[in-house]
Amino acid sequence: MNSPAISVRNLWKVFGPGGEKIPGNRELSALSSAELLERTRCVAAVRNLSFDVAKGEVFVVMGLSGSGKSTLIRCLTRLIEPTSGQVLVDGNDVLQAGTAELRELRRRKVSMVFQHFGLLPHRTVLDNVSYGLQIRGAGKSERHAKAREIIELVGLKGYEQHYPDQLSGGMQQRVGLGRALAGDPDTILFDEPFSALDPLIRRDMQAEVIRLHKEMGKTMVFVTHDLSEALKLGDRILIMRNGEPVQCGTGDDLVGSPADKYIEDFVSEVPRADVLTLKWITRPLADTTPRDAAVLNSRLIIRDAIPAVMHSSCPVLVEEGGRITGQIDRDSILSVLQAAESAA
Amino acid sequence: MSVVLQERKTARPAPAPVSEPRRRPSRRTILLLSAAAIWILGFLVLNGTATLALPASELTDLHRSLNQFNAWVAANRADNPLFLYVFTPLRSAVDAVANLFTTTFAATATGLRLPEIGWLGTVGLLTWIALAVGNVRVALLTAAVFVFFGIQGLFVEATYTFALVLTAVLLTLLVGIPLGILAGIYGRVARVITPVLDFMQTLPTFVYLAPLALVFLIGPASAVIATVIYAAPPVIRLTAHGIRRIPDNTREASDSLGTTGLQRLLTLQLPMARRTIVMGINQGTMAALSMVTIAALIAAPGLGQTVVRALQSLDVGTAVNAGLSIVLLAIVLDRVTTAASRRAEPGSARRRQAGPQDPRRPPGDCLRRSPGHGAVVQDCAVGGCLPGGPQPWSADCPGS
Repeated sequence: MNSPAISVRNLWKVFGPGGEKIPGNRELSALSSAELLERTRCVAAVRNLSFDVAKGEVFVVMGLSGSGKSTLIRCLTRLIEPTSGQVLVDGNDVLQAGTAELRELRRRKVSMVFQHFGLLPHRTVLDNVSYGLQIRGAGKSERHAKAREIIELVGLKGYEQHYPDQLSGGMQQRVGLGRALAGDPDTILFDEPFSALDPLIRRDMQAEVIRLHKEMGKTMVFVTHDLSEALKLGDRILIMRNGEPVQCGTGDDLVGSPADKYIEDFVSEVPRADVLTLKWITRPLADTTPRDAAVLNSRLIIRDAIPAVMHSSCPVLVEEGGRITGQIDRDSILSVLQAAESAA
Repeated sequence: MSVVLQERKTARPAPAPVSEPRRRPSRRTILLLSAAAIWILGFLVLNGTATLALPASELTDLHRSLNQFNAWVAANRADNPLFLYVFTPLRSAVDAVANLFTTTFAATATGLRLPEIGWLGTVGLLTWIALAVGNVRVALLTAAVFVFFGIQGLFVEATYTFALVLTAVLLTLLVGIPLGILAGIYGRVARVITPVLDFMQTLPTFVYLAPLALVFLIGPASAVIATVIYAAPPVIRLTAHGIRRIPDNTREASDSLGTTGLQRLLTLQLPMARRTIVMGINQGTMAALSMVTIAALIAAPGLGQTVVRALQSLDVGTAVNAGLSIVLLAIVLDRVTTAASRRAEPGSARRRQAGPQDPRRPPGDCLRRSPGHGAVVQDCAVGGCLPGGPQPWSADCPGS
């Protein structure tokens, strides 16, 4: 956890003629997207973005379509060439890397899962999963052995000899996931991997990612436009709008204290009891509360605290780091549930 | 919707369009009218003098200079470096390849005789090739058509034509596929090549036979070279198209794994463009057959010669008979190359072998289609709309 897996500093990506002049120009870089388009015919897809992704973390980049999140994730391995800034992967500057170095990075350190899967239709599942290993120069038996292992891991055992067009969308994305895992990279980038899938399959796949993250502990950068997906998967979430960062924090930070109206609107539909922790509804300790009442951790999700609070005849104590910070009672939980009710 | 449209139509005729045509005639009309006026004026003034046809015996300067060039070529063929080191070796190389095929399929080196393997041997060989690249149906068709040539007494001519087509197609692919790959990968190459291809396809075939005969003399070599010029554009274009239309997201996925340019070509671009490339080979073959026939005018041996000779003596029966053979040969070539392109479709072999009772049918497998359907859907998949687009079958696919 000491040094970040990925560190992005002042990253810009400007599409359009003469776009490379804009990040350095104080006047132009301050313009809004519409003004910039009018004055320079350029589109700034990513503007002055900085963030760190810790090792083993699931970092979610969220935003509506056109907010620059897909461009951002492609800039990390230079599938799209950034205009300016710095991208450090394990401390090495990707933007300064030569062709061979960049290839090595893509082959061994960072792999990617795509929205439209990007599978090779002429190859079997086995050959699709082992594609990255083949590109690295692994021998046939070696890469097939590794691929079989991965295929079992992503739950496709028995489908090795099938072709992508014989599989359902969810299974195809499992192949995409397997291909990314086969090279045993440190980091996996996900570009809206499940938005082409229907809701039930999406839920399965999200569970799959959570499971794989638990089992393998890889760093993940996950792009999505779906807030519930972001809250479900993300250790931290970066919300983007028009290429700019709006807020970056944990899920309950965003829901509990949205930075502005935009985020507030975004999170208004979220069932708050499922996301917020007790921290957000803890009240100061009342003198009447018995000191031997039940104690709950302040990081517990509100919904999970419901049974304990409802069964207790008196308010429940909340502790953080071994210290009692306050109390909650039925009223505080009901008010959260009621707020969700009236919002819906 | 239609009501709204109708209402719009009736509501629209505003005063503007009514007054517009009254304003003045367009520049185009003025141009056309003045051209007609000049023409009538010229007729009135000249009244037929100085517009007579050029007498056949009279030569213009252009004729004379071209004839001089012809004489110069004839005189310098043996020692001009351009001929010595470029045209003549090229001609001999093409001749050698053409000879190889004609001796295999039609005649021995000593003259026009049946090939050493015998005509039934040739039929057997060709049928086997058809079976190897296509299927049983086209193999049977091949056997039937070539036996028909034998019965009609046109076997040697037909195999000559076939051998020349084969030579031309091989040379076309040798030139066309690498060029097509380059044009498919590099936009700049495509921009340079496209006008050249346009020019090659604009030239009426008849026109370049004479200059080719001037440089390469008459005979099989110049016939093959003319055919290559005619057949290369579709091969180059389709190869480039096949590579260019690979969806960006597939290419991106391949790049994200760290492929080199060559790896991308071998593992992604060529396999995914394979079907389009084979289609190009089919188009090129058909173009080659039509040109080899016309090249009879510069002494290319084969069925074309029979037609030309028969027409000169108004022997309609022979001409039509040879013509019929050309048509049959065209059908065979088309069917065999089409069957080959079907087989080049990704996964076509698997569809044939995995029957509906395949025990390991995956839940999502109801989207497997009949072979006839496959072509259309495959098109769609290569175009990129299949994986991400709407999947109508997912509704009736309970297992997925």
